[in-house]
Amino acid sequence: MLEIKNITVSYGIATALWDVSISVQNGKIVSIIGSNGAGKSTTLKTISGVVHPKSGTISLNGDRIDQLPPHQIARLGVSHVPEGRKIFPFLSVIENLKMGALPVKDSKRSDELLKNVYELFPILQQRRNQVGGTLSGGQQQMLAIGRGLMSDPKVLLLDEPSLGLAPIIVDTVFDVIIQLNRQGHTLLLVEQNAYRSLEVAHYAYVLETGKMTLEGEASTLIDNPHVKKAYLGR
Amino acid sequence: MILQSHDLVKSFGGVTAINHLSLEVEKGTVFGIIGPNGSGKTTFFNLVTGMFPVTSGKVTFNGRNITGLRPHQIAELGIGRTFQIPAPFTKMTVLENVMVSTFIRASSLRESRKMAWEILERIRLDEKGNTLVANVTLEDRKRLELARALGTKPSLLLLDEVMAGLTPSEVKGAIELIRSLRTGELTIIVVEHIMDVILSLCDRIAVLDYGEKIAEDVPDQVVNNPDVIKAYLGDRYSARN
Repeated sequence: MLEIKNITVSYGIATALWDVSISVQNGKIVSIIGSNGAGKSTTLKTISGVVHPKSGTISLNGDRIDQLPPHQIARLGVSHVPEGRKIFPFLSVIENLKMGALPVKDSKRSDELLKNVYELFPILQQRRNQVGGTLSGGQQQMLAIGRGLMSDPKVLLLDEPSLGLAPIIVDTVFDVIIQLNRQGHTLLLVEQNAYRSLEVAHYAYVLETGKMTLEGEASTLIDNPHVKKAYLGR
Repeated sequence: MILQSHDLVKSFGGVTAINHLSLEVEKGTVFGIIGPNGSGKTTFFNLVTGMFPVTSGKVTFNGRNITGLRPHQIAELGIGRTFQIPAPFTKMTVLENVMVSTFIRASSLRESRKMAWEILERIRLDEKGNTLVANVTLEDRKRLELARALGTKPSLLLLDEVMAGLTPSEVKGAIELIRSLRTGELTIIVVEHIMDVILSLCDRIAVLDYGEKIAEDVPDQVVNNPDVIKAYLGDRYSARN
């Protein structure tokens, strides 16, 4: 279980998160929704160690991870799929995937992981020797998620996986999220597509200007009048 | 017709990104272009604005052949555009960023500043005019991207995914904003994946797939076109709506 307790995060003098607590139970999909600038990406970056909290704690299955460097957090089982895909544009698909598998020392296990990624995204196997930067936006997103899975994560952090994708590809991305969860993966999801993300999540949090203002079962939040007006545009 | 492309082709090595594309955009309308990622939408914008040389075919603007002109010449003729990934000058203020654009029409610093303020007021970003770009939110950066395009006083505005990354509620505001730009003098071409945007703004929509036009029609017809559902919208989109 991933437990974020009362974290406060600042960039210089600007505080991005105030006393935020999030709990991600194993095997669940948890979603964070909020406007631009609310602190959603900062939350994910703090979990993966790209930034460190000024106060508060983060623990993974009971062990503190909040002061560790990102590569150690990745090795402990937190995989971050960043907003905007951030694949290695000059490496091939297979090289990108292998970069993701660096924390995995057992080569048999990394072969299994690769097989699983190819089953989820057959297009990546077809294009395995193509340079990442020449893939379409949707394929790059699949590659980014695939690379995230190659480290055999306990928790997968997904930042805006449907951003800028065609409707039919958005469907695929959400299908994959559900499928990964069925395989037993734990996911923490940040999405602008609040409706779709609440549809697939078990539990959700609402962030507003750096503060957690609402939390609950996703199926309840989807009908919450404030959420409807502020985030679903209905 | 304000803009026409005739049998336009663009190849990158062995990949044909735009394949014999002919489009006509009527003056004063909002024209939508949709299609899968990698179908050639942004490439089309890059050809129209002279960012890339065309492989063959031509582009005419108000009847004039603009194929082969340099991007700044095309901007001077009145085609403005936004970029999918905004690249503002982050160490300058919002106002100064817009002034970089208005200079194309202004003969003095004072005039360019005045024009820039007018644009910021028009798109309701004037309150942030003196803020450094590094300190504004993504929503405001998207607005700034629009302001920079408007700064060149275009008669044809190309919008490349200006709403990506906005929440549905922010999208609503942005739709209103773009609608307010529609004055009859300004023609707009919109590339966007958010179908609510396309359907609520566009008079006509063209659908690209592998660089070819697979459909062009009014919004209601396009969303029910089986080829479009197959290539772009997905079965579930039509089921949901």
